[in-house]
Amino acid sequence: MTETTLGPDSTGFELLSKVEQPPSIDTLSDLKETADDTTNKIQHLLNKLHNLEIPVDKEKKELADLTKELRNLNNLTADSNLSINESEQFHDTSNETDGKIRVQEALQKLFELSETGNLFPTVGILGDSDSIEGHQIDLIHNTSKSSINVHFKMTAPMLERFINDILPNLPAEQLRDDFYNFCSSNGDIIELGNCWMIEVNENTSIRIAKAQKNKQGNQSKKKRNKKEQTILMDAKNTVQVPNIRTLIGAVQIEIRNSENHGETSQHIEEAFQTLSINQALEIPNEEAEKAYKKARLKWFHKLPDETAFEDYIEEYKQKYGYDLFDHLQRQEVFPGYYTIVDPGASERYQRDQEYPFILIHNISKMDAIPQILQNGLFSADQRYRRGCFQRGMSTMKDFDTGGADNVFLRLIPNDARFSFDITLLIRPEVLDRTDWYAYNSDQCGSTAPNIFDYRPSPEEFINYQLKFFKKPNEIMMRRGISASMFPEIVVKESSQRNYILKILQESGITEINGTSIENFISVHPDVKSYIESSRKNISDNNVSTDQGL
Amino acid sequence: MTSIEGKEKFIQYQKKYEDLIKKLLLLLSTVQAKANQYEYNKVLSKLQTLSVEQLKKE
Repeated sequence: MTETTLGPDSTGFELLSKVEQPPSIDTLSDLKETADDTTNKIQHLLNKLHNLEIPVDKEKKELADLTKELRNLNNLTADSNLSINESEQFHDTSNETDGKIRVQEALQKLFELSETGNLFPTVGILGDSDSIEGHQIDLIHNTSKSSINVHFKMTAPMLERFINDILPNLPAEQLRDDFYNFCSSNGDIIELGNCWMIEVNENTSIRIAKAQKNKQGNQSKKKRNKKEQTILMDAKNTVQVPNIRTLIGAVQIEIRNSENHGETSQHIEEAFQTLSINQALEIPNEEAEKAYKKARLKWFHKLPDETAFEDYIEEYKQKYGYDLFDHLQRQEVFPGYYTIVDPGASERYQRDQEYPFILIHNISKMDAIPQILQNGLFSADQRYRRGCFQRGMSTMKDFDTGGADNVFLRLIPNDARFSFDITLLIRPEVLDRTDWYAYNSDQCGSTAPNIFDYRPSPEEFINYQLKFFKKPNEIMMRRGISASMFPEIVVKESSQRNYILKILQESGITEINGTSIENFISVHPDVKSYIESSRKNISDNNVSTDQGL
Repeated sequence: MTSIEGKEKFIQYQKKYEDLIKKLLLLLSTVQAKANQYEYNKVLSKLQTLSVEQLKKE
């Protein structure tokens, strides 16, 4: 449509010479966007007039009525089988078939995978346009129950639509209150707060987390055996906050008796239809991908509005000579997990210096090292989804704060006074990902708006830490970190190195990412010693290369 | 849903969105007229308070 000069980004009032006519727009999503934009412009203008004490009650009422009409229309289009983003497709039935085939192929792949450690096998697929967070759907084979679990998170607008429009219309006999639970590989069950439970059919149920604890304010636990009770007691001791932020929007579809892939994919589709996410199994279209990239950039760099976004892109182009938006790529950064990556961003953060900082993850239990080096680092949520109830330093608290969606790292400047213990180093390239956020102090990775909204941007965080290093700083990397990102383990004592070498050898691990385990584990008391040694190695290598030439 | 049914439904929703956008644009122009009136009044009242010398400077 023709741009007016009014709106949230406008600096003042300007003349509008004529009433604009609705433009000819082909897709419903464009029309929806135009309607939303116009609504925002009117709202902005009304606020200004109201602040100037000009009476606008009549116009406010009219806007409220039109907004309601728009909301109803949006719900109508979303509830129909028409995708507002794919108007050209008119929900072609061939897409349905494609979606089911994709799921069947994913199931085939899933059954070919075997358990690694205590973790259930998983395969991730991308689906939907705007109802599923990150378009990410995980299929997990629960080998202890012989069931397929489909995990994903609803986006905030979808969750709102579910609660307001879909939930009230579900048949009462299908719906009940239950507990959101995870099942371990040895059959234990841990329950984290309440959920809505929908029985779709005799083989299929859906759990949608309420992300709230039960009436007693504690996480509950089915008393099936003594071991489970222990988990409950631990959980009780650590529960502090009334909400479980990690589970906001979390959905788990369980398909029992799932040996036939065709039937399983049918059940999965039926479950998504029950939730009115009709395009869930279709590949996100180009428009949805672009919208996702843009939303991610705004979130990652803390760009509050369209102007800030455009300014950032322009500034970036002038500085680096290419369009950041076009440069972004969707990559599988962790087995089965796809996110937006900005290749080369980590070099910018390092300001073209050698070792301006290192990234670390402290390991509390040496016995966990073989599994970490084989499978990577998992967020607590991922461990629980995949049946491993191994607890970290503050797992239950992290579920409450929202930090459990992430693996925690720390940034240490090369001149900081920092002593190692059992420290896994992480390649700085991990910062090319755009799914992380950071705090200058310990916030348990909180996503609570009163904390999260005031987090530093990536550049602000790194600049601050390089100037005023704070030991409890934290970087939260979504879901997990692939083992390919591990260059080295540093320990403070030779005895620790010897023990780790022993357990790696017992596990049959002789090298990691092409490096022998002897070279992979080094002993340094602190960062200073490590950096000096690394620089010396680089210098020695350069000399030998020069001589070779 | 067949392709034809889908197309009919799409056209129906397209029409509804267009009608709604027309109403919104009309409201936008009404609100903007109020804003323009405010700006006009502000300039007018300023003009009325200025002397001829000040007006020349302005």
